[in-house]
This record gives sequence, structure tokens and C-alpha cells, in this order.
Amino acid sequence: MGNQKLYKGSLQTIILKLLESNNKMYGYEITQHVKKLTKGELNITEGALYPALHKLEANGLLAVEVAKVGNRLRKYYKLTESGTKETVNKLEEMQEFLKTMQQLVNPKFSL
Amino acid sequence: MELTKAQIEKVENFLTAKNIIYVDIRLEILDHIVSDIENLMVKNYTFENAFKTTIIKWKNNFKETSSFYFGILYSESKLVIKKAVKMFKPFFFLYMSAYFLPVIFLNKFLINFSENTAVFLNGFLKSITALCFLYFIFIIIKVLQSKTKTTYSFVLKTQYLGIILLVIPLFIGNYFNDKESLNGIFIGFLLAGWSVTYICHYFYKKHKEAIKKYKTISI
Repeated sequence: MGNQKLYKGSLQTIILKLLESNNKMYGYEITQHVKKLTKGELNITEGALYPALHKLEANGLLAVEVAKVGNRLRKYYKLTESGTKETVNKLEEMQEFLKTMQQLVNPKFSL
Repeated sequence: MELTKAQIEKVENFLTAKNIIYVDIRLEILDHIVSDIENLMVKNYTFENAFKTTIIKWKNNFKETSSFYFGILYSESKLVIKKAVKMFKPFFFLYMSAYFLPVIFLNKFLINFSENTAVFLNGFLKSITALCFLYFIFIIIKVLQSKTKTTYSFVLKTQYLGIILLVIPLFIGNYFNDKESLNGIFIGFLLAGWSVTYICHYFYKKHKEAIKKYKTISI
């Protein structure tokens, strides 16, 4: 299990990226999907996931859809138009961040 | 493995006991917990054991807590408070600036008016404040009457005391000093009172939208 704190600042970007690729998802599905994609390296807790989803929803980046599934209701999240635009920005920021970190952690010296 | 209605009811009772009664949060927490239990039952757990294991995992999220933004009088489970704070934070700063900026500004710079203008403006500001007061009362009554609770209605509940900001200048104050200059403290009350009315209007609208959204589909 990696250091979860390192992933904390990227949670919103992770959620936006997942929703961009999967159209609509519900909370439990997001946690399981991330676990599967990272082979158990990243475990998003409920205490971190829902506040992040609620913030994205409050900022108008996510829309909500409720559907009946079996004996219960399920709340799906999907990207709004501004959410789709913000995903592009966030992913660009993330790429820049990774590039900078790479330069810091593994600098290439040249003469 | 899908839970039966009776088993889901047990989870619902647990959530009610933990005061997860706000429809916009309860629905997804219920779904997540039920999914957790179902996942464990696939791994041969009994319902009881799966339920216990899941509750332990969620325990921390149900801890009762309060926030600086609402005050210690208003405590709820961590999940509810976190959502409420995220929604309310920008409004809190609006609220504070609406009160403190005029107090600071008007104590430094005097803005004078002629006697007639001061009388007219005083009456005008009081009329708007009276309308805000009536609208505020209307929101309080409507939310109290509403059987469905949302995190928006929780935020509204924490703002009810703000009505004092409208009442004080309306009944016991004047927006102008003796020399027809604006009174910093009462203008502060006035703007904070208007802000709190706007905040309540915003959350009341959201509350109604949430009720509509979650009531559309019922099992």
C-alpha cells in the first residue's frame, strides 16, 4: 500500500478522469474501479470520496442522476459541460506536476 | 448477492439511529453500505458478520462533530458536517464581509446626507429590511413544515438566529446618526441581515430542488 497522503491532492482529478472515461458512476463503483486500476495501491476511503464528490457537485462540475437498482436507489454522478472542460485543465495541470516532480526526483544533468 | 428488503431495512434503521436522515446523503451512503455488505457476502460472510464488518469500516464517518462555521450548538455526523461546510464556506465570508466592511469603512469615513434624504433613505432601508424579515419568516415556516430533511435544511437551521440581524435595526435602531451620517454598526447589521436572507433564499431553493430530485423516484 503506497503513501495515501501523496494521492490526496489529486483526488478530484482522479474522479473527473474516471467520469470522463465511464460516463456515469456511483460512489462505491468509483472506489472499486480505482482499487482495480491501481492493483490495490490506492484505496479511496468513503470519508475522502464523498466530500470530494459533494464539492465537485456544489461547484457545478458534476450532475446527479438517481435510478432504482434492485431494492434501493442509486445516485450516479456524471460530468457537466463545465466539468468536462475542467477535466481537461486538471489533467494538463497534473501532467505538468508529474513532469516537474520527475525533474526534481530524477534530474538529468547535461553539460 | 442482493440484500433482501428486510436486510436493507436493518441498514436503514442503523442509519436513522446515526442521524443520517438527510435525503441527499442518506441515499448514497445506504447504497454504498449495502454494496459493501453484498461484496462481503459473496466472500461467504453471513449478513450479520458482513454488516458488523462494514459498520466498523464506516465508524469514523458517523462520529458526531461540529464546525467553526456553524458553532458548537449544531453537531451532526462527520459526513453531513463536511458536506455542509463545503457548501456554506463561501457564504460565510460574504456574511462576515457584509458586516465588518461597512463597520470599518463608516467608522473611518463619514458619509453625510441632508435631513430629508436621510429620512427618506432610513424609511426605504427599513422597508426593504421589513420585506427581508417577512421572507425570512416564510422560509423558516416552510422548512419547519417540510418532512423531508436535506443537508441544505441543516444549513438553513444553523442560520435562523441571523434573523436578529434584521430585527435589531428594524425595531431598535436607526441607519443614520444624529448628524445624518450613516451609522456603521447598523449599516453592518443591515447588510449582514440582507446577506443572511440571501443565504437562506439560496439554501431554501437548493432544499426544494433536492426534495424534488430525490422524490421523483421512490421504491
